[in-house]
Amino acid sequence: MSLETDLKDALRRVPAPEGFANRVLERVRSEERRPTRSPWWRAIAATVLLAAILGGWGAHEMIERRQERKGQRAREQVLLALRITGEKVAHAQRGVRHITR
Amino acid sequence: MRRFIVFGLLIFTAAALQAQRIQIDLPPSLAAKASESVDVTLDGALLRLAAKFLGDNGDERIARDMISRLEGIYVKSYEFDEDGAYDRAILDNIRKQIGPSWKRLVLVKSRDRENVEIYADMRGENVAGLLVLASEPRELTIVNLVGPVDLEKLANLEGHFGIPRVTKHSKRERDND
Amino acid sequence: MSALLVEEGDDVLRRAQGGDGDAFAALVGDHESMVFSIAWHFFGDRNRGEEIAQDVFLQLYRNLAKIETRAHLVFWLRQVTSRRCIDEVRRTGPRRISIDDAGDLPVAPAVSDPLAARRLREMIAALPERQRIIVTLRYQEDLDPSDIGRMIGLPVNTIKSHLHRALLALRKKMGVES
Repeated sequence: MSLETDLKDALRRVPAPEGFANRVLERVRSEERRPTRSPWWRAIAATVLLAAILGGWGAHEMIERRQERKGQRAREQVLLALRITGEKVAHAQRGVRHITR
Repeated sequence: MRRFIVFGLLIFTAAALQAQRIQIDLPPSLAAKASESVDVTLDGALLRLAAKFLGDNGDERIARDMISRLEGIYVKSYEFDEDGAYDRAILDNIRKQIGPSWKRLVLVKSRDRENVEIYADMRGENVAGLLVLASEPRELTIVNLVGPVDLEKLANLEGHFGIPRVTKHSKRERDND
Repeated sequence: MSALLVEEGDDVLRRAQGGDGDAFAALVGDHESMVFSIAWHFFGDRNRGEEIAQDVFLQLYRNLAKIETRAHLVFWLRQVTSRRCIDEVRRTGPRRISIDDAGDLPVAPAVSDPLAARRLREMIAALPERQRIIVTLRYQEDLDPSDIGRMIGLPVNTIKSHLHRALLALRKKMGVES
């Protein structure tokens, strides 16, 4: 028998282990049961309420710090995106200039 | 009646000027295969937030000007350790989305180095979006800028944002930066 | 396949995409053998094969909306399973497989020489991961090199080259053993 025939023989599909589908469905169900992430405004509302209960100024600062972190990250991403775009455009320009020389 | 005609014209114009976002759908395993990857997704709200954090001088001022009217910036860039790690059909799928208003500005092809294509979404004389496709054996980069793009400013970014200045600009051009 | 069967298959997919749990269970049942077999043949290890296969179906559940047709589903499952197998090896490295693990398996369909088949599977599980997945997709799923290339994102010539080297290595091992 040729190797190819042996390989087809050895690599035939086998049944999945018993109960496999049930275990998959159980994982799907447990993923659905996990609490979903709240919309961002709920997180902020919860923070403000907590601040009211604790009577502190800290919550306001916490929201501002979070917004600052988000803004700084967006700023970094803008700079990165423009750097990548600029590099590719510059490469294209060099290619065109090389041809038209 | 006139009011309806004007309203209709406004809607038509708004729709005509509405920039087209290109869907950059890449297989999730591509990022897993890459030795380095960049994934930037900035919609209008995040761009406005970023603008508040960009400085008033140098590169950051240029960046703030460039993004001031953009509606979105989307970048996916991957580097791989070996040739042929991605399917070039990915680029065909992106090109299929290019509508009739898009015009190819540049095509640079090289057998063993980087190929770059640049498309602009033209609405009359205005640029409503930009698409850059850059591919080499071990790197794939796709950039989509959605909204009005200043092509001249984009073309003059050498020497900024860490982009090496290789093209010889006149002193006057450099002084104007 | 008749047009009616094709429509039924796509109907189950649409119902699963609409949130029908029974329809999703039917999709799992229809394809569990294929997915588990790819992972088992890759690792030569039942437990690891099942882990990977379960992860693939969980990923399917999360990405159901992206699947367009039944044919696309089969392509997607093969592709994701292959890539998960390779990623898992790169992440954790090869695990030592005892001859007992390899033997502790659901009963495979009757083959001409079960001992030789088992030995061959062990040799396949010892190949470098790219060669391993390519051999599995070629001989388990009967895919040609261009299909395999599209699936795992490599040029067809690279696939052919890996396949050729894998077969050479297997022939050499079998020659040494006999």
